[in-house]
Amino acid sequence: MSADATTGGPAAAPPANGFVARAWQSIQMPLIATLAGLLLTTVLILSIGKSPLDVYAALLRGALGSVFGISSTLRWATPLILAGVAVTIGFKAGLFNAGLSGQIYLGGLVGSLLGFTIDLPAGLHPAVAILGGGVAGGFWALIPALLRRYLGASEIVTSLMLWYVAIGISDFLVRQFFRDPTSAAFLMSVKVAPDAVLPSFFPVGNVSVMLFVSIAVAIVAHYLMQRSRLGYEVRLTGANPLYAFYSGLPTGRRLILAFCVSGFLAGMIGAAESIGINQRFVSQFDPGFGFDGFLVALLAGGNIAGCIPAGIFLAILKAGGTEIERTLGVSKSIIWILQGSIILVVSAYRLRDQINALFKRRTGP
Amino acid sequence: MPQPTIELIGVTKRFGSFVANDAIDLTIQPGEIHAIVGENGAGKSTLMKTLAGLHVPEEGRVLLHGEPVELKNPEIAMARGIAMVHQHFSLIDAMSVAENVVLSNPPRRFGLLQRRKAEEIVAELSKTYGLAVQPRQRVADCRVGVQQRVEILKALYRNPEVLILDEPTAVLTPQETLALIDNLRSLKSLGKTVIFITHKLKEVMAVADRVTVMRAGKIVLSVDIADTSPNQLAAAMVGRTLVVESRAEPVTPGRELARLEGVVCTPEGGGIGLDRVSFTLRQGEVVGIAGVEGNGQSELIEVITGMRVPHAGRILLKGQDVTATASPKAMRAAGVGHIPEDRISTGLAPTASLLDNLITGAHARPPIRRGMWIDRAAARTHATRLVQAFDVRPGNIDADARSLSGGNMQKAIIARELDSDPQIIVAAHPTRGVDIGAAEFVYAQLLGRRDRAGVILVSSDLDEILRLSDRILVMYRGAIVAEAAPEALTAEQLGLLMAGITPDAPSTTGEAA
Amino acid sequence: MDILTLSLFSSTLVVATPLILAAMGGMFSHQVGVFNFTLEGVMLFGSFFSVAFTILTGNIWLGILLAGLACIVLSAMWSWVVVDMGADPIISALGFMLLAQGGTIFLLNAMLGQTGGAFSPLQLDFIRLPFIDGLPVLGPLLSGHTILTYLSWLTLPLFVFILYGTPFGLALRAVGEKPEAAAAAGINVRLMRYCAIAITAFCCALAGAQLSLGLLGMYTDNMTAGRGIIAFAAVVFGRHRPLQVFLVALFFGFAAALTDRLQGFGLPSELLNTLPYLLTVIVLAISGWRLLSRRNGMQAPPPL
Repeated sequence: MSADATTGGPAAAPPANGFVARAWQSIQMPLIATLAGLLLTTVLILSIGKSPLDVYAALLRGALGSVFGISSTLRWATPLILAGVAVTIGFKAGLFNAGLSGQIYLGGLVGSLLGFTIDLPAGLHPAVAILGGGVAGGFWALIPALLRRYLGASEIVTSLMLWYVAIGISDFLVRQFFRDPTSAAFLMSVKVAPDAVLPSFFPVGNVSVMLFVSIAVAIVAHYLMQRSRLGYEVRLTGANPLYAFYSGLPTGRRLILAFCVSGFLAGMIGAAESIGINQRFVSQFDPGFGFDGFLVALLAGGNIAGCIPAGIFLAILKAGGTEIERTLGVSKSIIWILQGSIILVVSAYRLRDQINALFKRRTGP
Repeated sequence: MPQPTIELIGVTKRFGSFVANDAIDLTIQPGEIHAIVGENGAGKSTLMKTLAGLHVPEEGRVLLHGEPVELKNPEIAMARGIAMVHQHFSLIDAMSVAENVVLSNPPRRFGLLQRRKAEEIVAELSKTYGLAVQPRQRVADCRVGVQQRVEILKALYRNPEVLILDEPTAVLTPQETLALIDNLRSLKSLGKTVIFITHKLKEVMAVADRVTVMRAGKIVLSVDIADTSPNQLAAAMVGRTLVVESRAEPVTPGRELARLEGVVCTPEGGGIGLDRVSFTLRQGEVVGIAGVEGNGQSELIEVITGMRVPHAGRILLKGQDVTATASPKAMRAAGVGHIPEDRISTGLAPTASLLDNLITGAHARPPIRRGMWIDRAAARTHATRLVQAFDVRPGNIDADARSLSGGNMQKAIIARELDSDPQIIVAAHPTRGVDIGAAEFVYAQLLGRRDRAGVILVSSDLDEILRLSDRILVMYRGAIVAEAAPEALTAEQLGLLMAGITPDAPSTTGEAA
Repeated sequence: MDILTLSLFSSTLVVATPLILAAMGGMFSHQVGVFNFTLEGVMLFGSFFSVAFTILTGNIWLGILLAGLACIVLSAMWSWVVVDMGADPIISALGFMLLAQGGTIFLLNAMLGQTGGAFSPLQLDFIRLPFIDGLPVLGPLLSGHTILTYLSWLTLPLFVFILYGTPFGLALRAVGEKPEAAAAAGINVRLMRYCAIAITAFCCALAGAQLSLGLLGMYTDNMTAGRGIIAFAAVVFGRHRPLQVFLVALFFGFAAALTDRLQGFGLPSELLNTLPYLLTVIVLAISGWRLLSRRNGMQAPPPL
């Protein structure tokens, strides 16, 4: 037959039965993509006359070579793991939470709000703030979920649009009612109550108990998705919605559930950043966790628990990025270029099949 | 004797181990209207697609005007003067009739699209061939009959010598069918050679010059129309004396399990739907629905399984009127089990593991369900049991479902559906793609359930229907046109019924009314 | 409250220019059925490259042209990933956006040795239309814009002509509506998709050029600030109908200009800024509802 007329979706992977084979298959594309990305960045580094080895060494040094570095890595790993889990949960149900950043933003707003409007003892306050942020995020995700379930509106576009609406609403509320009068340059809220601050337990930098929460959430979510009845139904809805529906599964309810859980986790990220790192709501506080969440999810290959190593990997890149800039004068932007190219390559499904075909031809029948 | 336009010599086409066309020798004379008839799966479409360049045969030769050709793709076939109009239209709804027709080569001048010229050309073609269309009308606003004319004009625009039509009257009303038959006559008078595939013998007798009957990939009969009759054709199509020995032992029918009363469906986009269908299913009986695919069987299944809501009529399951609350979930709760015709899209989740696929439904009940959890051990036991009982290979329940062969997928689906012990079993083409041994096993399973269930069997495999059914309903154009016990029907009658001709009382010599 | 002044409408035309250019360009991708979310990224590249190449060549027209070509080449990377490699358009577009954000900063440093931004030695002139300039109302409204603004107005008749009056446009539309039918008619679907995405890229480059060379005379990091997203929203809104996309983009420009104006009166600009996005959500909801009511009795899971 003549060439493909349409852009297709992912082609069927060759059946893999052993554990090792399956593990290789899920890691194959992310690995290739990372190598491709590194290739591009190496070329760019060379083009500006620096040594790639120096850069990568500085990267690792910055991320893992000192206590501050490790603290930086862990600080970034905390939200990144959670973001990856949030995106992956959406993927499991066949949904794309493109508006993750909006849910994070609102979570940050509500989290800080709870931080400075109510009064609670030190152990409870941060927990309530974070959970409240989660609820805000979950609510913000409910809107695109309902629109998708009842009206068939693409949750990708609606959640994406609502991202900017979230920014607008939050910035407005803070500017009108909660602004910190002492800061003219930045838009930020008043500080949260000292009891609400999420304390860091690390000697240096800012690593809070939220790190363990993130890891725990990843493990628990993975377990629930694999073993619980709800998880099973969500997975089947994502795997083949038509089949799930005709088998009598409540696909609509499961879609909404998955999307809202995704939003809830996103809201928690925002709240934790606000009461932990910034100790207040800061406009534009989100340095792109939405994007990063996708990258983590892509690298984890759709595996929820896999978001832990993937999140740590990305955290290393982020933490090391500052070091590169500091010691070598190579802009942090190179990390973004790396991230972007990894995403581009990883999303190219057919590339995997072409590479496999290439290897088959080489090794022969 | 004029040079034949087309000669197929020893053409064989295989799909894997399945032989779709088996050493076909066929001659098409210039300027004739040639009909190709046969049951489903006889190989008619495949053969014509070979001529149209969509399939390349493994063996054999194709000669055009005595010259051997290789029709590797549709473009080459078109260049050689062969155009095919498929059963499923590929028209662009948002564009006008004219735009659709000239799409392959729009009239242009200095890079500008000459819209008016296109409309003129289409109007010309329309007049010449008697295919009435409005060049400016949006295809989306055209009735199905008009859309088909657009498809034909699209093919004629390329000025072919041979025009192949695949089941052209499948979606037409009787009036539109008559109009099309006239069109075929004018095509012939204008020097075109026409080949059309159909299962409707009335049309064949009305307009064809010669007819070829195919069965199971082979040609069984090829004659001039003048030398044959519908009865002979029907017998050749169905081609078997009904084997009564291997018929299942009938069981006394028990209580009523399912009943349809006057169900009407009009599917979106036109098409056949269901035309006041009524029938009853009792416990202990197997009701076979015979008929060429596309005559409403799919819609019937959809209605019973809750996938489609009827526009009129009633559905009763175990005496309860469920028309208002029909949904897949409700039907399943009422005891309906469904072996679907499209296993990939509605029977399985291909990217999920075999285990996950086998426990759907059972996952919500103990022992697999434990509160909010899935008991992994119980699930694995359940799946393993099913895999062994139904001989699903390979038996690795952790493998992706899509890694299974078609036949094994089918066995897995049947295993799952039958395991929930449904009282109303709806089986659509249950042994499609399944090897003989497995098919026998499926038959044994279905027949073995009769002590507590009833089976509705839809199949295009007549042998299957004749063997398993206590009663046969024949569907044609969305309606049930006949109901009889298998013993009471001859092959001829069955063939005629499926082809839309109502035979007289059983007779081997009488002509059809 | 003297809001609806002539200068408001005049600034609408200015603000809407990049939106119109990007949205009309984006419409081409939509025409071939490609969900092109890279508008923001390409616009950013465009705003950077137009300044960079102007500095390097000393010629503003060459600068814009080279920027357009650079954007086409970069966008082709995304085209390849989506058209040939079957990538999900949204995920890959996010990757492209990251690439743009990182790439512009990196190249700013690598090509021009600067950080944060760069001044352009040349800027687009404000053209005074000979006859119209003297007219009472139309003069200040229509005259004195950059050539890119006038070009943006041209896109409407030009693109309508291309889409509906040329065989190329016919082929494009066929590919978007039903690729199988187009392929059966002998159209090279793949090539059409690449072409459409390239046109989108060039238009977005021009949009970026208007931002940097037309308005400010300089490039700053992330200067597109979501305009590409708004342009994308306009494409979603207007679907593949040129007039609709044009008007929506113009309207979004009006909303933006109005927001700026109203800020002076103390009305919340942040909330007003959300208008384009909210409207898009509402439009999607309504069109989904309309589609649903046409479904004919067939039960189905939540629609895809």
